Amino acid sequence: MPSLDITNFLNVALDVQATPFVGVHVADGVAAATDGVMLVAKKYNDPVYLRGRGSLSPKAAKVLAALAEATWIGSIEVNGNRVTVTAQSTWYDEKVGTEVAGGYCEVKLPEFYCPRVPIARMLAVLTDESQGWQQIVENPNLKALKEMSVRGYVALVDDPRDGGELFRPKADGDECWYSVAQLRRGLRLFGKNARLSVRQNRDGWLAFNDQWGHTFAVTPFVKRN
Amino acid sequence: MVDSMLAQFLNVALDIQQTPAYAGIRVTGGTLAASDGVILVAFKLNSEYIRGEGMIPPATARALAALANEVYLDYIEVDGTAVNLVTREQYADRSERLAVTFPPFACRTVRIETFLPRCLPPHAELVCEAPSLKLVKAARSNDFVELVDKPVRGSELFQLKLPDAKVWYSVRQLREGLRLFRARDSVSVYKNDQGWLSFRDDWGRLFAVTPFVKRD
Repeated sequence: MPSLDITNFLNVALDVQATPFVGVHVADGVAAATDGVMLVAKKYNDPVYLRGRGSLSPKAAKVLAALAEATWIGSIEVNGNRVTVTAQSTWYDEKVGTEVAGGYCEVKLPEFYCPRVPIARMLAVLTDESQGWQQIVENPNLKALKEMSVRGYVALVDDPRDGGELFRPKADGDECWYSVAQLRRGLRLFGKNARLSVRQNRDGWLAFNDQWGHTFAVTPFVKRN
Repeated sequence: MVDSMLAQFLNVALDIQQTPAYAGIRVTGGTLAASDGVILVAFKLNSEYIRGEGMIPPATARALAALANEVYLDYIEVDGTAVNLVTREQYADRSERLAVTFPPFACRTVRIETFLPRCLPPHAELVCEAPSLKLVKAARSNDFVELVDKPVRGSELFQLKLPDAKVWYSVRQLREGLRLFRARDSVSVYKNDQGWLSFRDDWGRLFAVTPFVKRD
């Protein structure tokens, strides 16, 4: 059985990460990637599943994504730039005519250099009360985002309601707004059945969380006088 | 130095081997081969570089393609469906060998190599060296093409299928397999008595496609 959750996270993370924050960074059971404007993260509550501290270079992340797409990953251990995973083997039972799960095997990936990033500090900003984070809406409708041009910009609707539309096209007088392209790239993190919770801080940063520990945060475009 | 040719082959092979009965990439005698039952791609490498015999399951092939694109591989060893490879980790002051072991994954053995002799002399005849394949690029993917009467080096190999054609080929299938070769690669084209068309380059890569045949 493939670990599609990891594959999806890594693919989105690989798309988002960029210089100078290149790579997927792991600390305290959280994997995260950022380009300085957007941030995607996934928190694993199982302390055994994702352990250690360090950075997966994009090369290692690509190999891991490929492996996770094909088999169940039992655990991921990160130590600096060294990544070791346990992957479940499978074999084909000719008598039964089906694929059968086997034992876990350790796969040690080559060590690729990737600079460390203070990802824990970045994530802390998303929960820092002094930043004025406020819950905006639960389970919003994002239909407008899907229908708009990828080059478009959106702003939050005036009074978003649970289950209602969250965005509207940007208007001239808006103080802060968001890029449709950036929102779309980050929101690929969430599955169809994800129950999203949306928060905003006083600087206009928008954070989306779901019930499975995924987080996507994006910074706004702001009107300067 | 990374092995981008191997990575490219694996990516094309992965696209082709998606029929469940032909899943995986066959390894034997230093040759990698993949098929979907209609088209076939193969890559003959040094048997010291690709060692052992077995199948590379799609899972491992994906990871291997990602690795081959990024690091220098000393060799790849296949044992059944388990794959071991040795790579070099580069540090500023030294390089270290690292063995990477991929676990065995379910993959049935398909002896694709048995098709290979039928694609090459003496079972197949040389049709043309270094032909132009512009029509394959220009045609629509749902078009069909046939060989021109007497193809010559540098001129077009195909023409659009005529109503009375006896043997013809799918543009989509040709495009899928010809991705194996780079723009400046010079390929030799062979055809056997069953109409199988094979393209081979000097690097040991081969793409073969079976034709559509008019039945009376």
